[in-house]
Amino acid sequence: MNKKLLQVKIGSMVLKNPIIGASGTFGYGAEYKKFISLGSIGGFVTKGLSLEPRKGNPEPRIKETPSGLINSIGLENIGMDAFLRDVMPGIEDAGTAIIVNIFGTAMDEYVELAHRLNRIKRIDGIELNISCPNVKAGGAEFGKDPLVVQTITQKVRDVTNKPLIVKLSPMVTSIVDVAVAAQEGGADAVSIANTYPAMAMDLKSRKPFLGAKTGGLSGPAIKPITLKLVYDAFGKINIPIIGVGGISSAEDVLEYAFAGAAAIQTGTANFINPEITAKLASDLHDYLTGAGIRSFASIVGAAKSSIGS
Amino acid sequence: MKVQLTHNGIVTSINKLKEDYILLSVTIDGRPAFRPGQFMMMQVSDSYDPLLLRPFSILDEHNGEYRFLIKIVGRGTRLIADFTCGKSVFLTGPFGNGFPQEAGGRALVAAGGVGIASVYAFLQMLHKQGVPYEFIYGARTKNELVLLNLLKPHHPLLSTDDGSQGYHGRLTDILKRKIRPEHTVFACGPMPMLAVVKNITLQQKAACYLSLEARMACGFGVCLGCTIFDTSGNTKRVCKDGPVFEAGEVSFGKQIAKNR
Repeated sequence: MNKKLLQVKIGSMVLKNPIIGASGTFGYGAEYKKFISLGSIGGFVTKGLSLEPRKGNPEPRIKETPSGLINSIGLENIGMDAFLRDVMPGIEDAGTAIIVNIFGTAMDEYVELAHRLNRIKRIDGIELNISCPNVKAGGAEFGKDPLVVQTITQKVRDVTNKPLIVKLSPMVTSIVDVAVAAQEGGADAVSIANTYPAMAMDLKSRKPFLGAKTGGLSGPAIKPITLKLVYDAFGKINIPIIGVGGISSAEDVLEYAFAGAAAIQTGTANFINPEITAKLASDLHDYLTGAGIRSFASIVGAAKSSIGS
Repeated sequence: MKVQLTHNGIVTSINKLKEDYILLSVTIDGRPAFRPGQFMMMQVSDSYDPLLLRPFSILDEHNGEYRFLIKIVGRGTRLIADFTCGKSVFLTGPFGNGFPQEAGGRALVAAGGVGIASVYAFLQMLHKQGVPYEFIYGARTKNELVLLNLLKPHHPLLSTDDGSQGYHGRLTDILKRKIRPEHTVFACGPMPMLAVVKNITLQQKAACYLSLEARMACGFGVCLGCTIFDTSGNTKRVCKDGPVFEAGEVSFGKQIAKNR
């Protein structure tokens, strides 16, 4: 098999293929060992980790909507200590890129988290969550202002030489401005994008359905919207874009690639078919070889290419 | 270690029972082993809408044919009601901890409404093990007491809220009369019923296991959508840490407990 066919470079990190399990839908990686061979996918991003464990939001936390899912988990996580102590030993042999998603309510917390991860050899990359709609402090608030995005990225960059990905909020005036800010701050890539703030009502109580009132919308319903954000940002920054939003099939991966995504993450689709990441990697391989395309990289941004593909 | 937890199934029969209940039979490739009280996630639509799979307890399995008792409660289950024989369905699982493999002394099993779906396989296990057990099954009306033929070997003590069949009143009234400290109670049903079951077992200092129902996206512990807060305030995933919990762990909203 031609190794280069699907290979993707994010900073100094080389992924076997462009398929990555998205943060918040892939547990801490270990949970998927029984479903797939982790070595068959490009990588995975852990559930967002904070310095202290978090219990998350009150129930109910999820609401299905047409072709979508609203969640208000509220970044429930085991905390960085427990992750490093209890989880890491079980995923060291994963045979795939381990990207740790980190989250804080203040800039210093991001710095502290990144600093701690920098010493752990087996961790291949860090994804900064500055875009979660489900927490009051930090989260999406950090992700709205390009200046804040640049500052926070820069501060984290100063304490780590690991590949650094910034996960952007889709709820911004200009995705280009925010993506450029992440790049200026020293990011190696941007993930476009997080979920969309959303809500549903309970018909009986006449009140918001979710315990936290609002949540973030994901799933196939958001694919066309996020696809456009990727398209808008492509060509305006020099760092790779990781597309994430409603990807469920190889066709979806191709659409994102044409729009400009050098790699993609699957989120909600993992809940429905826990083998979807491995399936997409295999389907993508078959598509490219079948179509006589020499590399996945060659089709990235095809929609904006003057040569076409 | 990788195990086969995604499956293709073929619907082999679908029977509409009383009220809004369906008995669905599906042959499932790989013939996955399961423990009583475990569940599978079932695809309800060939499109993205509805998007998520739905969790259903496994009733039983014979020669690769699995049966599910399904109550029509919303859009997803209504779509299942329209399944036809030969339809292929995607499933994941079995998931969840299931009931304990040993009943420990004398067992009292209580099922309220569609809770019967979760305890049925457990009853079968107790029967097979030759463990002494008693079984209470309650619903609002006789039209919601289903599978009575299948349940005959378990000699159900029936109750209905309206008195249309069996004891006139709550199944928890029967439980109250029957329970002794040496009993272990296993129950599945609506939350208000389980709250009462918990109180009764606490008073009698009897061991008690409750099988819970919850909205979930994945079924295998990663979406954290079915998280509950236990009596210590810690988070528990109904899908993975449960659905069967020791009653002492399960926290019921004060209002729910008061209602019954």
